[in-house]
Amino acid sequence: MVKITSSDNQEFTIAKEIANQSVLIKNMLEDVGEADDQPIPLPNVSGAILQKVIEYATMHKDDPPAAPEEETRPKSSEDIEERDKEFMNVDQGTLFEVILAANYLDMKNLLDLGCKTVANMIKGKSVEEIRKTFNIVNDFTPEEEEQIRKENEWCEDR
Amino acid sequence: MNVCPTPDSSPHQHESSNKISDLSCFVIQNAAAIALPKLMFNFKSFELTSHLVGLPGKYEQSAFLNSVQSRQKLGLFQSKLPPEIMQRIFEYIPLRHLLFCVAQLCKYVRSCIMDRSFVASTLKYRQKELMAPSSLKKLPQQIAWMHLPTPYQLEFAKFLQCKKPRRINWRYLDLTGVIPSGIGLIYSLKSLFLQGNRLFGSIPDEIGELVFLQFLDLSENNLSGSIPASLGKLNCLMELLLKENKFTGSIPREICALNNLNILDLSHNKFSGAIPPGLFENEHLRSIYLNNNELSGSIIIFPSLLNKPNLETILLNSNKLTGNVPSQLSKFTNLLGVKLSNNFLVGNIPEILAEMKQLRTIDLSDNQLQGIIPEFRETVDLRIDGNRDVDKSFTVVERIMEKECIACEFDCRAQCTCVGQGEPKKRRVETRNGDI
Repeated sequence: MVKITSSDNQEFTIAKEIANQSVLIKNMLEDVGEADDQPIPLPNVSGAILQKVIEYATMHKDDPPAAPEEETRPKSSEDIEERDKEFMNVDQGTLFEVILAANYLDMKNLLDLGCKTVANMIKGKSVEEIRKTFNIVNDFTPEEEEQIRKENEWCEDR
Repeated sequence: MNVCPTPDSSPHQHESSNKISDLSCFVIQNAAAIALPKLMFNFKSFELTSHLVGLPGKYEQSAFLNSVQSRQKLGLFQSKLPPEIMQRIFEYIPLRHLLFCVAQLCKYVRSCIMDRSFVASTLKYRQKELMAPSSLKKLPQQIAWMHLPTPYQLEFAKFLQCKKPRRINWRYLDLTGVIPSGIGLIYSLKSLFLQGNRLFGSIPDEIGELVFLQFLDLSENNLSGSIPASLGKLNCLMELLLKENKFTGSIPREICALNNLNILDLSHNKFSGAIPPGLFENEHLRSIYLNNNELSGSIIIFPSLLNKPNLETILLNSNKLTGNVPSQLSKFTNLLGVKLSNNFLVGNIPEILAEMKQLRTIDLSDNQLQGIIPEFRETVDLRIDGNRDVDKSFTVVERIMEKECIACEFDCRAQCTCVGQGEPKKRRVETRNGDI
C-alpha cells in the first residue's frame, strides 16, 4: 500500500497498482524505495480532486498501459467510454482541476480524457457559444478584433 | 515559456515537478509578455528577469496585483489551463475551427494557438488539413496557405519546402489574401498557377528566389503594385502571365533579359511608362500581350539586334502609345498578328508591312494615322477604321475605305464632310467605323 497526502493534508492509502498509474508517484516510489512508509506529499492536488483521481485510477486499474503518443491528427475525441463520460460529468471547476492534477501526476489516459471532454465542449460551436460555455471574456482591443476579422474574411463570406 | 522555481521556493517542491501553483516566489524567464498575467494570478510575490520583452526591469507589484484582480473576473479557461494543456485540447479540434473560430475567443487562447512550437508541431502532424501544393481541387475542410494566420503561413512555407513540390496549381479556387512571402522558400517550383482567384496585394520580391520557375500564372486576380524587378532572376521562365490584375508602374526592363521567355501577358492592367527597350529583341518571345494598359512613348525596335526573331503575336492595343507604326515590324518574319489599335500613333503605314508573308491580322484602328494604305495581301485581315486621314488603295477584294475627318473625332457618325489628304482612288465612305 502507498500513502499520499493532498495539499490540504488529507491522507489516502491506496494499492500500489493504483498509485503506479501516476508516473510521478511511480518514479518517486522507485526513488525512495519500498521500505519508506512516509506519505508522499502531492502539494498541487486538493483532497477532493485526489479523491476523484483515485476513483478514476481504481476504475481503470486493469487497463493495459497507455499507448505511445500516436502521430495522427486531428486526434479523435469521439472514442470516450460511457463510464468515463459519466466520470467527467462534473462542474467545470472540477473538470479543470482534474486535468491539472492528471498533468501533474503524469496520468496520460486521464489527461487525454479531460482534454477530449473540453474539446467536445468546443467543437462545432461558434465563438459566442464557446465564450458563453466557458465564461471567456473577450479582451481584444477593437483594433485587434478588426485585424482578426480581416484574417477571417475569406471564410465568412461564403 | 520557461518557468523556473527559485531555490528557496516551496519545501514540498519535488524536483520532477514543473508545477508552480504552490510557489510563494518564482522567476520567469523569456516569457512572452502577453501570456504572463494569466498564469500568474495565484502567486503572492514574484520577480521577473529584466530582459523580459516589453517590461522595464522589475514589474511593479501593485501593477501586477491590479492585473490579477482584473484577471480573476475571467473564466477558468483563461486563467487556469496552462498553454501546454490548452494545446493538448486543441489537438482534438479541427484546424479550420481552431484557427478561425477558437482563435477569436480571447488573447490568451490566441497566444496559445499562435505559439511557435505549437504552430510547428501542428503543421508537422496535421498537413492533411491544409491544401496540398499540387491538389487540383480544394476540399471544403482544407485551408489554403494564404488563408492561414501569419505564423502558420511562415511555418507552412517551410513544410512545403521540404515536400519539394514542382507545381502549385490553385486555379479558380476563390482564394483570397496575399501571396505569402514564404513562396520564395519553395525553390523546387517549376509552375505556379494561381489564376482566377481573388488574391490582392503585390507580388512578393521573394518570387525571384524561385530560380527554376518556368510557368508563372497570376492572371485574373486583384493584385496591385508594381511587379518586382526580381522577376528578372527567373531565368527559366517560359510564361509570365499577369493579365487582368491591377498592376501599376512601369514594366521592369529586367524582363527583357529573360532568355527563355515565350509568352509575356501583362494585358488588362494599369502599367504605365514606356515599353522597356530590348523587349522586342528578346529572341525567345513568341507572344507579347501588353494591350489594355496605360503605356506611353513610342514603339522602338532595334533590327540590328534581331538575329532569329520568333515573335508571332504582338498586342499593344488600347494604350497611350505615340510615334509611328514601326517599319521594323517587318523583320518579324514569323509574325501572324499585330494589334496597335486605340493608341495615338501618327504618320503613314509603312508599306513594307504589306510584304510580310505570314501576317494574318493587322489592326491599326483608332489611331491618328494618315496617308496611303499599302496593299496587303488578300488573306490579311486589315483593320484601319477610326483613323484621321488614311486613304486606302484599291485592292483585289473591294474593301471599303474608311475615312474620318478631324471634325468627326467626337461623335458625328456621318453627314460631315471629310478633308482627305491622300489621293482618292475609289469609293469613299464617310463614316467613322466603316459601317455602310
